[in-house]
Amino acid sequence: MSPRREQGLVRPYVVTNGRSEPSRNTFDLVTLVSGVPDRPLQGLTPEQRRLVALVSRGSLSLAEVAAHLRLPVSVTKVLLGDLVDSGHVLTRAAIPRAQLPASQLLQEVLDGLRARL
Amino acid sequence: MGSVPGSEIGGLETAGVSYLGDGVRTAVKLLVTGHFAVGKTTFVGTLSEIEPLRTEEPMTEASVLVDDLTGVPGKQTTTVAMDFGRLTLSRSLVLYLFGAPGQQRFTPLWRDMALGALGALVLADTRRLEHSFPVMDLLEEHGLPYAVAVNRFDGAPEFAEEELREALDLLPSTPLVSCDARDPASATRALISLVEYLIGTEARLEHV
Amino acid sequence: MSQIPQAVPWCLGAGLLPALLGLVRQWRLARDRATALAWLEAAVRARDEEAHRLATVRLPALMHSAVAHPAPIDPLLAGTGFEQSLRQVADQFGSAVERAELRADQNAKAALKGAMRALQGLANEQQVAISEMQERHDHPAVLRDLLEIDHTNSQFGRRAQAIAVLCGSWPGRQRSASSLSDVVRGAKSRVRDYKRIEIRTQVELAVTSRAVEPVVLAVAELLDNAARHSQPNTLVEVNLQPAHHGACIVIDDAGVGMDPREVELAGQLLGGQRSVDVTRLGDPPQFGFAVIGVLAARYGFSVSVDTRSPYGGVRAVLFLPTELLTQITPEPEPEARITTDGTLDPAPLPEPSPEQARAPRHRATPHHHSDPHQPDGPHRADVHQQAGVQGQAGVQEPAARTVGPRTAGGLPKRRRREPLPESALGQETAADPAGRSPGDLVRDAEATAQRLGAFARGTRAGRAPEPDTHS
Repeated sequence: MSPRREQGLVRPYVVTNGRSEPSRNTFDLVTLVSGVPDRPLQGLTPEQRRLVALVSRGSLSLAEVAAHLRLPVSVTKVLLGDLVDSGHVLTRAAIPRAQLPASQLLQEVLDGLRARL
Repeated sequence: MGSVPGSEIGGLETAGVSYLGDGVRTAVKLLVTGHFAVGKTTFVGTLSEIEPLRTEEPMTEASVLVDDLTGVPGKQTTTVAMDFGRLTLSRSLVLYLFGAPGQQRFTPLWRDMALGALGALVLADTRRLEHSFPVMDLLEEHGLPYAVAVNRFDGAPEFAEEELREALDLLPSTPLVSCDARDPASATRALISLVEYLIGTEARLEHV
Repeated sequence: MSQIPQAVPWCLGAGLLPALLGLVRQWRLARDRATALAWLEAAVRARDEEAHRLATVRLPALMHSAVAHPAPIDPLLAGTGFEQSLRQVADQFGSAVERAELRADQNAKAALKGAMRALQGLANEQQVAISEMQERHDHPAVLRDLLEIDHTNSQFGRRAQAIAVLCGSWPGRQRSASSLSDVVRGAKSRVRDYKRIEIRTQVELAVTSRAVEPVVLAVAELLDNAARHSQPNTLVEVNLQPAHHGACIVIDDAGVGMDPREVELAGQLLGGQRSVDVTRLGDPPQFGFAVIGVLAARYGFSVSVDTRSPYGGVRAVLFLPTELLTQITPEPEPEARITTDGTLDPAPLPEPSPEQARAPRHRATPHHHSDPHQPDGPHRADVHQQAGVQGQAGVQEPAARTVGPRTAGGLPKRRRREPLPESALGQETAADPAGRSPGDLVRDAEATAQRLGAFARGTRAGRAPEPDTHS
């Protein structure tokens, strides 16, 4: 748990311990992030704990995770890479493998939008 | 069911968070772009099922120096990175709208938002049409298909579609619609025109 | 006749006596004069010596301490006007020195304070700019550079802030109450060797808003001191401990420690019993303990460094009394709208169906329905964007193209663009986060093919690199 986060107090290099390179380069703004239940939190930094806590109840896109944590996307990616490595979170590519052809995906988008009218 | 704050870990973190449905497998993104004050935030906010999330809060207060340091010269500005919204379109499909600033330079953030985007909706204001030009140039130069939606502002001059097309130098196939960014149905229809256009070009490509 | 010779001795005698007496008197006089002269000589010598001592010893001593301690004076001069005059000279000199020093200190402080405030302002401004860049640039190499600049800037800001504090300024930076661990990590953010600093324990306590910045600054000075005085391959360990009537931040280093004299001096500075003359900070300037002492006295916390750390170095303990502590408060959420299913409350549903997803959006906040019809005003909701736009590239909305071709109805005319050749984007794409080749971003000259490229990139980015780790 954290108090209302004070912006700019803890600088990003302390958050990542000086690292700028995520352990994997597959993350995108709409990479879907979800938590793995019942993983011990020892050894996690406060921000990593917050990230794990955030996605412990459901999935969010990376953009949403960064926004909720109020961290730059690039910094969030570094934290996320570590947490995927340690098995605390799972990520899913925005568009899974074996996705239907582009036209079909677009059609699905169109149907979804039309259904809202 | 709604999330219950106060769980063992991070109840506070999850309070008020709107999660994706369990079945969501695919996330697609569209850009909503245009010049300053053209209504991007309004448009995204009108359609989004989540509160506008900004990756950085205004830093004004945090960086204001008080006490005897008042009057220290320094830029007191807000840091806003992204403006985005989310629309769950089906059990398995979610659409993200990213509001992309429309200045001339192709910034890294822009690229990150544009990469993998299906297309872009350019919002325009007839009172300042020329302010939309840079972002349209940008989209064309980088090959991202777009539709143009003229956001209706009261008191803005009305123009015939032909004249607007001429002014914007649109390809005949590029959709040009009129919308009210505050109205969900109108905003949705603008997105529908874009996606129909994307399907059309897709079909043309497939049948060539 | 014989009477005459008889009378001669008498006469002589009568004449000699006074002469003798005169001689004796003369001799006495001479003796007295000699004595007086000797005394006078001694007195003059004493005065000379005293004056010399005044010039060469007492006044120089006064210049250093500005406190006139009554010097032992030659007994010859005790009670003389000369002694009084000397004392007056010394006193006046002493107070003149004191005034001059005070003035010099004040002048130096005023000048330094002004300069440091300006530097602090610049450091803050730069931090905002760096933060914006960190938001904007999503590439590891750029982030790495930005982190370095950010780190240097933080240290620079801390230095300016510390000197400003010594000059009577207060670290008046508005912060919201922050957890103790964030306070320590905030301090860690401002220290050169931050990677060596390890925070071992967590406590569920926060520091009150007013005390955040001063405590951060004090802890930063302690951490810097600890890191500076220990081997680069050792850790500086920080433990947070709840204590009776407060909490402690305990900092242990594995350095060489301090000798008793250093400990004593440090104690005086930390306790605020000894003030620091900004005109004598030394080179390199050493003011860490003095800054902490000033802050501790002002904000009501205390610091001691008189214990040895279990690792052999110094153990610094910063004690925060209860008045400076608060409970951690949850982050206020703008709306208590809680859903897990992607739909909007008040009627959350377990799984979104297309039907539910198209439920009307209850976005009733005026923010999202701000009137876009103000003649010139931007949407309120877009106000943030303005800063964003300006921040994005430091470029104002282009006001260009006001002249040029126009339509019949007066609309400005644009010329459609051709896709950029690959090379034009080489630099941009080189920084592509996913390491895709430049050709991926702009593959073909043909617009349509490029459009497909954009789509394919999305699907490729989605499909290829990331195995479906879920389910």
